[in-house]
Amino acid sequence: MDIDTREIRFSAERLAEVYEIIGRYPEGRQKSALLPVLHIAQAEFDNWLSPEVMDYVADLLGIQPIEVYEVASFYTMFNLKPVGKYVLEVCRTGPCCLVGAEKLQSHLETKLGIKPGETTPDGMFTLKTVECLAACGFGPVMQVGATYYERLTPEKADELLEQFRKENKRATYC
Amino acid sequence: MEVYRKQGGYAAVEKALKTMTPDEVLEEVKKSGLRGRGGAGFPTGLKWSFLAKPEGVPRYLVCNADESEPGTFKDRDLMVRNPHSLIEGMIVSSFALGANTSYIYVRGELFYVIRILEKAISEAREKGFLGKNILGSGYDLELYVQPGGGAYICGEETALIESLEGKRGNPRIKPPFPAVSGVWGCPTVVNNVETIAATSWIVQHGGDEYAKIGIGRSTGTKLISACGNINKPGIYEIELGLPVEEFIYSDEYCGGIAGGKRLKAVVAGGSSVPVLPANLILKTMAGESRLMSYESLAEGGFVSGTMLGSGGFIVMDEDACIVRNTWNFTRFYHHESCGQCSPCREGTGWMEKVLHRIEYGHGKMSDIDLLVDVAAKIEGNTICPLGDAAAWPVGSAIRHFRDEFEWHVREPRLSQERNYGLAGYADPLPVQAAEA
Amino acid sequence: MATLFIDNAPYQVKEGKNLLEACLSLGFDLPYFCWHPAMGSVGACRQCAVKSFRDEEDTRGKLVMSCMEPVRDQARISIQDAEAVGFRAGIIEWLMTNHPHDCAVCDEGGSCHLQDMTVMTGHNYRRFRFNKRTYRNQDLGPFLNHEMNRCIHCYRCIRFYKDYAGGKDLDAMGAHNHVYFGRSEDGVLENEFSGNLAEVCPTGVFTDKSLKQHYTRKWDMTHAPSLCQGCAMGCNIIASERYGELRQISSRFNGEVNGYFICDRGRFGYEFVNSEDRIREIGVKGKPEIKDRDSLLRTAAARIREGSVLGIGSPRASLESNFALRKLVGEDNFYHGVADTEFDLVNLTLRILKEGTVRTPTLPEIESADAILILGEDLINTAPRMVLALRQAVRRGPGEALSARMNVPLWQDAAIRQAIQQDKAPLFSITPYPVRQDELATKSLYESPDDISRIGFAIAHAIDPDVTEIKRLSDEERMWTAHMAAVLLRAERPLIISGYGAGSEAVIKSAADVAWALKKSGKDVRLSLTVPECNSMGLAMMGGHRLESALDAVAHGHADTVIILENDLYRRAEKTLVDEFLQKSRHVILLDQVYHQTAEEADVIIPAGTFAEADGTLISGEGRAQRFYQVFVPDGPVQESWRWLQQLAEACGNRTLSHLRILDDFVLEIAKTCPQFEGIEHIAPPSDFRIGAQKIARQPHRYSGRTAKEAHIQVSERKPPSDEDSPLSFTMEGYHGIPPSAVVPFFWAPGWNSIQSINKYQIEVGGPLHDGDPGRRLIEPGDAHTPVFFAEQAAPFPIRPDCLYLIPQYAIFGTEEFSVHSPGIASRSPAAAITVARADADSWGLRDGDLLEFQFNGQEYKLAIQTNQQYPRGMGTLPIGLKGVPFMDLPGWIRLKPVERS
Repeated sequence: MDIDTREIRFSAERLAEVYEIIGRYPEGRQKSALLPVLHIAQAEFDNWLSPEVMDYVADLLGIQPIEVYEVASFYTMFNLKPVGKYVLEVCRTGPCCLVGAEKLQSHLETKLGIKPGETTPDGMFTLKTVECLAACGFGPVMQVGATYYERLTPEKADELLEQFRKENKRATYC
Repeated sequence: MEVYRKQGGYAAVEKALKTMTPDEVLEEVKKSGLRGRGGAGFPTGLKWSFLAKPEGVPRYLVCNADESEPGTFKDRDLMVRNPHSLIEGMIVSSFALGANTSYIYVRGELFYVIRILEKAISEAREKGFLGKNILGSGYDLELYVQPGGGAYICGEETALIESLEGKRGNPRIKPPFPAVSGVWGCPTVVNNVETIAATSWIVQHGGDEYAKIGIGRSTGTKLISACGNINKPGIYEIELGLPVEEFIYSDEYCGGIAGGKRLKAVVAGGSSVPVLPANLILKTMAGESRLMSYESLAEGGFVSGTMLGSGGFIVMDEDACIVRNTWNFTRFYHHESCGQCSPCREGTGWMEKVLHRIEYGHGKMSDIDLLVDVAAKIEGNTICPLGDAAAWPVGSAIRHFRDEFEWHVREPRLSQERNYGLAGYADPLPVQAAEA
Repeated sequence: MATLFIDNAPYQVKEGKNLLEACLSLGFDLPYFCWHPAMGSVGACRQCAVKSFRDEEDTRGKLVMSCMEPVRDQARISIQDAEAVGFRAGIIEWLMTNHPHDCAVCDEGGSCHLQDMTVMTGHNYRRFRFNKRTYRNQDLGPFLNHEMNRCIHCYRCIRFYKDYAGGKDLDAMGAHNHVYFGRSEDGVLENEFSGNLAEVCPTGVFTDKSLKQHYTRKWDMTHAPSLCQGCAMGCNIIASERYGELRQISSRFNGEVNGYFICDRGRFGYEFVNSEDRIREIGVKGKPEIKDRDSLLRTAAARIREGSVLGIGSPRASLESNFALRKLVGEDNFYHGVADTEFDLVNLTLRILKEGTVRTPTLPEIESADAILILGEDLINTAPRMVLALRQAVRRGPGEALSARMNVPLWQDAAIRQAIQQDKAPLFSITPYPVRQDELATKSLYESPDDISRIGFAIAHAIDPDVTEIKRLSDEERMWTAHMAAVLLRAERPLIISGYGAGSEAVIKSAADVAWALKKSGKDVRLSLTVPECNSMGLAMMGGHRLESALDAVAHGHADTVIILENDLYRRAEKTLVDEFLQKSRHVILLDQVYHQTAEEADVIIPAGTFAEADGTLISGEGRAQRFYQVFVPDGPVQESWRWLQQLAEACGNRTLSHLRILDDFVLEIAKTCPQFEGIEHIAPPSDFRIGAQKIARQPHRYSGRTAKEAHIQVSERKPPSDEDSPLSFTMEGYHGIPPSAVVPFFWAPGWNSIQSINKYQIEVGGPLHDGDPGRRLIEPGDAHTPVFFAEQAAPFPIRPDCLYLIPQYAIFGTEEFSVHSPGIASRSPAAAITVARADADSWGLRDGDLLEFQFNGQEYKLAIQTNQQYPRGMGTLPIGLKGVPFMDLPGWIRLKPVERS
């Protein structure tokens, strides 16, 4: 669905979740719910945070929109631009590189015909290089949605791509 | 839950809440000599005793599960395998500190771990270990899991607090320390997952028992996450004091270097600690066998030693390129710099550019000294330890592997084709030569 | 005092300050960026590093950030230590790695703190061999340019804008060395103090957009110490000129008045001076040949002598000009050119301040208030700078408490702010409608002016039973009044604020009663009452008759010649009345600066100098007399009104002003003949004041092109104008050191070209200025005596069917007469509409934008409405003075024309 034409509003169920989260903090400290609620919002609205979505979150938490923007732009997990259905987050940090992460990345680049930060024309995959995912003993690591794929080889990666194509669902963190 | 209970889980909660005062718990933790397992190794009991207790102001315990130091992956494993040990630790620690609300701040990437923890928390609540009047002791505790947003810096305790408040993860100036002004301006203790999990054992078995494990002031056991070019990467719980050589080569642990290659270098405590060449990691300058302990690894200071840090043990074989690895780590620190203070924000970016240039054969000899100069100016002069963490790998790499850097400059083409190799790093150095 | 060893030499310094402040106060040059004297320390830039030694034995020492370390007795530091020097140069080197080499085309060049600090640290060789980081800039609206490539990431902008001034649309985005300081997208920076970013920013990221239209380097402008004429706060400004054009307004530090900051009306509202609407020529109806001063004076004098004359003074004209007019026409014929309601409000205010028991606060006193009650005042629109002070005040109480608890000094801005979170000292705001200060308030109430005064009196009664008890309060009102009284009584330094804004004498009286009751119970209380214009207070103190009487005098034939001083009567009385008045007057002589409706009706128009072209004295709302000085001598006949009036008197053969020639003569005469103004002769040095036989130079010693800049007109250099009215010279010749504080034309010190050089003009960092902050308070409460309370029983506000109680509303951008001539200010004006409660509009079947037809004082009006849910019922507001809004002497009841209901 096109984000621009859709009304940005959580379902009743999601809203209850948001209010439960707000309830975790003392009165007046509802801003603390920002990160968890942004995660929910991102998962709910096509896996990225449009200004409208961030404004909505600001409104829910009773804070200024700019307080949301500054936070969303600080953390790497929040996508501020539209992304593909599967965001392939390849770890590029030292330990993974020692065991072949660079090879994995260039394989994916060639295979998908995109550079990190880009999305395939069919809107299926976005390639993203990320810093250490804290799974260094099981590298090379790639995160897709909530799942860590560990000890990857180019061959295993190809299988995964096929699997994703078949599933054809949006993979989100939560 | 049932399994954990059968194995004696939550006995520490019963013991602490029913038979001990918070101060007695604190006393046991002090006696245990437990040191923070997040990287800094600060004595936990001492940290707890600094917690301010102004009247009418709530206190908080926050568990730092924002594990993201390259080479470190022990906390995830602990939380996945044994979430209840962390929750139990949270309960006894919160009790000791007088906190009625506590948070576990987990790095956002680990949503599946968050789900595991949340499930375990609700189980614990059902059994009456959380909530109001726990086990009839009159003690109340609510425990929540907070996801991060993907920022290494939030592993720094004050940045974590800012993040928990829903802000950018900019570390705070200290003092005031979190023990005085932490979450929402209230006294707060931030402890690593492993540290907190250890407290329940300490409560159950007594601080003295814990202190008997380990060596000297490095008491207890420590989770070491080993990775890189070894046969058996993974997480190992070791008694502090184990010889490094045994840890690398014994089949019980890393199982030796993968592919039968030779050891070139080790980063012993997560990417930020100084890298040591093979000869210096196995033996100290004095020729003594190096042990896995806070003290032994630090032997020789930064001239010839390193740190236990967070226990992220990264092993590099003879094919590893130190320049490339240093560039990679520097890129990491540059990327993860919050951008608040000048030395780290500008210095890491500059170092990354220079290292990239050397690695790709465009460096100048003067670049090496430039790196030393920039790293030295960052070190000790930033708001938070990220500056040090970024400076140490560069400083130590050039200190111990300067010839490899110079080779990259001297041989711009050759260095693109092959690695520098092992050179003399694995050979034991005569003491005088190293000093010179 | 503590002994601090700097490079082994002992110095006596104040304990509790930080090392940076101590070093700067001692005159050392220590570079810094993120620290700001008003905003404190955050330790972000790491520029101010010094070596700190444990004791005399310690030879290694360690680097510390001087802004983060408190002064301790016997502490030993080194500024000259090689490592410290190298580190400071290193920081600059880092900051410069990405800073463009565009000084030559940068607006900040020549007054750039980054330039100064770079030179100071000695960094000059570049080792960075890569491309520089680049950003996309934003259009931030009419006031500021944005050039992010120049940013050195000191975080001062958001610390000022967001933390200090409460702005909500500027922030830091992104991370690592790509942090971006901007809005979420292009658009106007909304905060009323945004212009200060141009001074707070240490380099050229935020620069003055109005200056850019006629850009000149700081060293190429002529500067003068001046006063903002935008409201009655009396903020000190520096006015800067080149080529006969006023080019920039910047803030002039005065620790007692505006500190380091001014509002955007003050900074950007100057463009009327250069406007095409300026009155620059003499105009005599029907006699276009009269162009020069002498013929004008002859003609005007002849007309004045013809009949009986009356003079209408002005709250926006200087004391000297009003005095000259009063002398010319005689005391009995001197009227105040202000609306009658305003006349009553200001006179009441003056009486309360003079005869009451409570002092008005200075700015630092406002900032240190620990409980605040605001009655009826929409401060951001009637006294903008005060809101900035209140914003600091509400943080101060919690800050001090936490500072003590955490043992962290107050200047540790980040630590204190993080610990305070959203806590606030009590601030109660009771206004007729939602206002900006609500965001500072612990409790806001919206009530009609009648009810505000009832609540005020009830609070006073709760504090002191001698105040008449107010009956028929609602339960909620009773609860809040009791609470507010208790909080005010618990405070040590309570502050009560009210003023002309609600248009109600009762509101002002109730504020006085609260303040007096607190005083009586032993509190160190302050009472701040706003007045509308820059010299409203001075005019009221001078005395004179109501405007109504002037209209009567002409209507009844008691006078037929009218001299109007710097005034547009159509902004003072309703149109029909002014029309009649001007028609009936045989001669209307107007002295003013900008064309307006009254000017169109005047027979004789005399071009008066604006604040940039005139000297004079103003009395601020605080009761502080301050002097402003001419920046440049305009071409043509424009000159100070007081000078015109003196010459006019001479031409008329009226000898009362013969002995007064220069400004000093007027000042001394006023001080001598009007005891209420005694002391104004001391607020600034006399015109014959010299330092080493020199006048004080208005131009920097680097001023360029004097011999060439008029070469296209005449190759030989014109004789520069002389200034007989002040101790300042119009040229670069003269004294360039630190002059007496009242006559500082601009801030500059060797090596300190930017506004940061203020440090050098202060006795110690943060103020006051050398030889004291300028100005003198003329109104102090009488000796302690038992106050006579005003409170009397009044009925609650009645809601009348088919009527609406309309009260005036003001807008920082839009309702002030002159500042709207700046296009930027005009573009931010609110809509010309009546605002009413949504429920009222619903009951009339009207919606936003619909026209409301009504009668007021016998006249018919038709205006658009807008609705607001939070407005009290039965009441509406109208921005008086806004373009498109006819003048009505509000407040008052308007009768609504029946709305056709379908």
